[in-house]
Amino acid sequence: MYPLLLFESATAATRAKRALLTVGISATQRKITGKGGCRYTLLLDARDLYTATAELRRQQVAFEIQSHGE
Amino acid sequence: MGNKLLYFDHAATSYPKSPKVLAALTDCIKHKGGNPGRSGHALSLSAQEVLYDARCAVCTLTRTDRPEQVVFTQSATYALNMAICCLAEKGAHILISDREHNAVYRPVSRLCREGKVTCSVFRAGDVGDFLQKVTPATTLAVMTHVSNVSGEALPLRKLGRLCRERGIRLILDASQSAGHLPLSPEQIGADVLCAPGHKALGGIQGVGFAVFSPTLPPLPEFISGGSGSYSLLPEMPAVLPDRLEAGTPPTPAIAALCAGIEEMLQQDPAVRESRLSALTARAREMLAETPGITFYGEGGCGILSFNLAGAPSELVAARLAEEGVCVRGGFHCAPLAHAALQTGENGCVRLSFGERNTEAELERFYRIFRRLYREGAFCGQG
Repeated sequence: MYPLLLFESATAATRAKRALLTVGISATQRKITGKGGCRYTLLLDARDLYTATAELRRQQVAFEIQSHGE
Repeated sequence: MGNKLLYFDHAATSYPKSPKVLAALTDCIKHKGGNPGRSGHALSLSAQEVLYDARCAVCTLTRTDRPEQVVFTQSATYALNMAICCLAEKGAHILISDREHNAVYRPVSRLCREGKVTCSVFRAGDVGDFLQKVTPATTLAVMTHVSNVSGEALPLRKLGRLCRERGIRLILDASQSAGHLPLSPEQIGADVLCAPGHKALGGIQGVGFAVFSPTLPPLPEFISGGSGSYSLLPEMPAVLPDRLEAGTPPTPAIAALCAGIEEMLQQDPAVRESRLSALTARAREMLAETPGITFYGEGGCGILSFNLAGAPSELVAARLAEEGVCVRGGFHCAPLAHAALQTGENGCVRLSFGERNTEAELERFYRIFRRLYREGAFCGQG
């Protein structure tokens, strides 16, 4: 299971991707379908989850966390 | 023909575009041609990166830090219409200056005709007149940063402060100032800043933007359609930029705008503007020798407007055009400004310089102008 971060928009996902790069985390951007329709996500390595969420909160990027069975 | 042209119409659109801008444009079309924010494949994601880079460039330009608050539109006119319609509450009284372009005057007039708002016009530069026209119902002010006719800047620090003190939302039209003057909506006190991409920012036609303050309440929908997100909802997503960006954006034009802004930000603004001011001052000095000439305003942001006694402005522009000189006559889509400047039924001739114009080009222009004047080419026809 991999952690998946969900964002409100493609812009927010790109912003998050760039923010994570500044702390050395490389995330894969994915588009998924779910409640409400299409959403943009970042797929992370599980060991990066804590650092990633801390950085996104610090940069005030809103997100939700899901797990992904890939 | 291209090499012989003297292009002094940069307030309408900048020309020619820089090699970097053209390279960014073609690179985007060739290599980043997906639809941004719509799909998950590499081309779509790379187009999304283009948009994000451009939002960041606009943030740097406007000294803001929220890329998602940057909404791309097809033009500054579209951005202004959107901002006005989103912020004009029913029953509101709106204040606009007497230098506004039709991009402000017409949407506000339409809202007035529809009975949704009322509007007053204040004299640009006259803070007392502004204050006198504020009523308890005034909730919105819309004003240009720099007049597209006279080049004069409005006292926005003062006006912005007065708006903020009175709880009046402020929409700033930075069409002529973006790329010339420092832009900081926060310092000015503007809730929305709108600008085109193709004038002094050096991009191509087809893109403009609005920067919305994060302190604004939730915005209504303006135009509805696909956003690539929350597709099952019957309404636009609640968050910016998706809420206000319906339909496929002009990604190549946005890439070109980003390159234009980045190129501009690498220059020293003081050097660039002092060169432009010197060119404008020199043009004024040359033209001032012409009998019967009237200038409008002091000229700023490379704009110099004038009339010759007895010479229709469109005729002057047409005669110059026949000689390969590109200037603009008429009313410049700004009837309020022309009324305030008392240009009458003639409008005026506007020269507007860009960063690539040279003194040698100006000398050549003046030789052509003097010859046409001596030949009487500007007179006798309407």
